[in-house]
Amino acid sequence: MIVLFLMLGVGIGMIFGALPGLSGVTALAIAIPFTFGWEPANAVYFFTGIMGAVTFGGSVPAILLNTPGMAPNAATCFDGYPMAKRGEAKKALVLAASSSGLGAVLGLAVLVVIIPFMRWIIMKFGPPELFMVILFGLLCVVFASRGNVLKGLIAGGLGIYLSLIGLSEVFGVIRFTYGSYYLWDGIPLIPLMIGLFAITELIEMSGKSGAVVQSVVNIEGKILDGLKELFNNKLLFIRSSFIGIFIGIIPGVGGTVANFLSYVFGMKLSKNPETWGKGNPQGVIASEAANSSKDGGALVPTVAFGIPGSAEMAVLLGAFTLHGIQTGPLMIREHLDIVYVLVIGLVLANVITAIIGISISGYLAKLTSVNMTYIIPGLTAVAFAAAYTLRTNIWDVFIVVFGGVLGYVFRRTDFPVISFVIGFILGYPFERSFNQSLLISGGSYSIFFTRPISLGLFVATVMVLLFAVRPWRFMMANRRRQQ
Amino acid sequence: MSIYRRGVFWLYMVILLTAGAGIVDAFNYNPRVRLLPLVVGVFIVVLCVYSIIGEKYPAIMDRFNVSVTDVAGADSGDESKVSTEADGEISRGRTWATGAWLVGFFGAIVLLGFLLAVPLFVFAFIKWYGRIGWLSSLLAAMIVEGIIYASFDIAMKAVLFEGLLFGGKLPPL
Repeated sequence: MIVLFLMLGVGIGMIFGALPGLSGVTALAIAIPFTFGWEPANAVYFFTGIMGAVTFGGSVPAILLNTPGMAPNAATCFDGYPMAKRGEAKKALVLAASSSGLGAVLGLAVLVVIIPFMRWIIMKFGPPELFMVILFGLLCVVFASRGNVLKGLIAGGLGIYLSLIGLSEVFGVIRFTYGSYYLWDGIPLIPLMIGLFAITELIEMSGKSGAVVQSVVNIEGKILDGLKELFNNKLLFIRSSFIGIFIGIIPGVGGTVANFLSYVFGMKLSKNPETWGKGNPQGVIASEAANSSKDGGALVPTVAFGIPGSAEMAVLLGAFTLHGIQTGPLMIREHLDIVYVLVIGLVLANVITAIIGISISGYLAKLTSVNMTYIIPGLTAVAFAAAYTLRTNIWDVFIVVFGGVLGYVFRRTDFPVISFVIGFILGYPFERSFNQSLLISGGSYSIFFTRPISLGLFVATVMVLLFAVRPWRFMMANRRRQQ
Repeated sequence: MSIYRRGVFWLYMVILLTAGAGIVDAFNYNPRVRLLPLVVGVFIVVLCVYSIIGEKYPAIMDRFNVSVTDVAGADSGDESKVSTEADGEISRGRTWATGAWLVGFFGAIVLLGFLLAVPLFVFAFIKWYGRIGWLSSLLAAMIVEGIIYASFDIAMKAVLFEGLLFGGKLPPL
């Protein structure tokens, strides 16, 4: 049964990854309502199947068509496509599959090593520490704000604000509903996510009508060549994977940045950087190892503190809530089994993807020739129906439309959606931990600064804030001076 | 003022109004209940006002522009490639039209229910928005209807909304 759910997820993940414009987040968001009523473990295997397969799925059109299936595969095009044109398509695909698969396994191995340590720390956590960790996570919105920090902070603040609508279990009062009964339960998370991620992408895709690419490069070469190349570049692979893991741990940053940073570092440290971008296999390794290993890193804040490490993790947290799995520190304390199911599922998904992905890559690449005009209304209908079935409330479908329009406006105006989502997810636990802390201390704010872990986290938060703003300002000023 | 800057300005105004309304409403609750909404609301208002001024004087906003690849010392041009993951320009007119289609689809679901609205929407969208032939549009509508019926009605045993015209009732808003 487990394999069935995993394979189903892998199949969906590969298809969504390969279709340019769609991503793993879209697949996860739409898939969540279908898992309602499933055993939590089966649902987790299904989700890990999607997450494990989507990255490789995205690399197939990047290599064969010079069109990345998803943004985190963008750097794969630079060297993957020239390799394919040179007649080394199979070698590039094997490199992508093996770097992706092994990178993810390395990322998860790091997670497994960290789990006991995290558990030990979390056992010492009380509400003040949790409050400080969440504050730290919210501040990481700054990191997630590619583009403009202010827009990231405003989006994050708005996310917190909207999360406060409805019944506050902490105080037992209903806030900001303006007479609406529907809002008593707050804005529902999963329909909002479906709107923000799936519908937004579908709206954006509709602006690029028709099929993306019509012709596919022939898949030639030997599988062994790719594996040998990876073995010859093991140091690059390990370095790139660790860049991915590190980037993954920072909440909200995600695979796109991991992909580019790893590529840039790889090129800068290479003995022959002039060959990068012209079909150097090292470019594929650097890019693919990082964008898959980031999942292991992103799971660290997700499972330990309930702070989403990436957009996929934000949706995954929504899925956990649906299945009654406690998120935040309680997850690692009381649902360690689910954490290990996640790890095992992701390892298996990556291995399965690597094995079958290479053999079906030609078919996956052909998906890009499907006219998206057929996909858009079909997926919209499924997304609407899926959102409705969660609570059989038609207004939830309205929230999907609202989320879609909001997400699209955010994208067009360069407001980071992920910052908004992080704020929305963390708003309620942020307020709860703050008030629980004050209840413990009898109303004294000193509780946040007199407990060692809490104080340490506060210092770390201030340092991150200083680091986040000052060097970038300095760099911007430097660049202006150079211009 | 460009379309982009006008859009950003109006978004700031909407956020500003949302936060402002929240701040005013927060005073209806006791001090502990209103603490976080007030702090976050004021924070949003201050940032929005600063950003609106910044849109007028771009040098102010530029200070807060961040490129993560800059930290690694990459060429600033590289990151711009990330957002253009698929070929082709995005047509604003088409995307806003899609927004209108979505709202129309929601209206159709409310009136006609899922099982009627879905094939109608899929057919109409493919035929008139995608400008694809009758037969293909009809076939696609039937396939999607089949998928919705099989997965929700049969597999999940979910009762989809029937539509106001066919006895469906709207839950209280």
